[in-house]
Amino acid sequence: MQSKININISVDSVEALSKKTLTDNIFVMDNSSFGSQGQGTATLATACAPGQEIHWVATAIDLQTPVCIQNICFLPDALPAVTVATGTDDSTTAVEETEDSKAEQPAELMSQLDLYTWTGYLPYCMVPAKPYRYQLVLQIGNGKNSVLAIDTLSLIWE
Amino acid sequence: MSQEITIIVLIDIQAALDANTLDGNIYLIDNLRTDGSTGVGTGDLTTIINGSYWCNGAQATEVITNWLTTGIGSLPLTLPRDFYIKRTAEINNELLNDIKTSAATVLTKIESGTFINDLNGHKRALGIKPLTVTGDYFDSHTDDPSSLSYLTPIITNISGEAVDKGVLYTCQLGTPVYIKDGWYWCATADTSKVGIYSYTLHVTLFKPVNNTYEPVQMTYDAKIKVTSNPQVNGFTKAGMGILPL
Repeated sequence: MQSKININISVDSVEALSKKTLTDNIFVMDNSSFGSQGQGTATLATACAPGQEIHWVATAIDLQTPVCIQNICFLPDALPAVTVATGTDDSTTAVEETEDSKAEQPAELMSQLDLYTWTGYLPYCMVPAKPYRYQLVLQIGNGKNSVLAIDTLSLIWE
Repeated sequence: MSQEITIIVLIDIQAALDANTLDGNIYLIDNLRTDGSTGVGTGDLTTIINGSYWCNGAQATEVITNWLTTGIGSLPLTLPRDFYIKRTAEINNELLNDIKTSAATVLTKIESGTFINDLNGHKRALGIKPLTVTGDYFDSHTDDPSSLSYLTPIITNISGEAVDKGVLYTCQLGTPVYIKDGWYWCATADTSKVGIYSYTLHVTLFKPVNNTYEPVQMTYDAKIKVTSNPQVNGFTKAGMGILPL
């Protein structure tokens, strides 16, 4: 079993900012030897196992545009399966919220995000065959609509 | 934000050639104003270079800087590299058609081309016609001299404190990308050397004298400001840990 799985998020920054969404504008791939489903899409379910190290990296397709991961937060089980990506201002795309929804709307801009390395170990309390969904928050530049999120990605121990 | 840095070197060519200096006739623009570059759009640019390091001290972020020259009064960078040559062929065809009306003046226009003197004084034919900024044939006898388009200045070297102290490692690269006109200067940075450093751009402008371009070499100083901060784990904001599933 490989000790580390790398997840690469390729971002089309110009399209993401123009359309104010990460849907159809990110392409996520991993190098898991277990064979993940959804390679190259925003619905990648990375196949992994407890004890492995997962490492996320975001790269901009246009090298001269800024893209950084602002946050990765794992979603509680109560959230529904339907997900959308929204921006910080009042956008026209709706967000389905349940009473238990804890996925926060990304808000402020953060600085010096390239100082953060997004890596960690999968805990041994992980349950097999359950998709651990996470919200990926990207910051593209420093503008009003720069913080975008998507929560269709997941980790799964098959 | 980690991205490649681009610095546009915008030169008011006519003014620089008249005053024989780039001081006051150059505008430097980079793409990191929101990250801390100061003086963007002026002649006094300090490009911010935000570096970071791993816990063992090794440099973490890769910083690449690219310089692109353009001139006020040059043809736009978005035109393809062979624009001069294609327009020359088109203009010659138009002039050949005009031979029916006035042979003598048209023949001198057809035979007019431009030359360039290199630094050793050798004259070479460029094989192109002088063009105005709108891509039309520039007739030195009849057209307003200020409508002549200038050849884009070329950076020939980057030197100075930043290079001497091993902060910027420069190189000139060849590229098929048309807006870079075949060559461009690029540098990577050693971000462990925190501070403000100056560097010198060596720029060659081309001064049209009758139908010959004379190279005029000038220099200009700009600055970089290097910072460096430690990399930390995004989840724990410290060292490695368990993922918060």
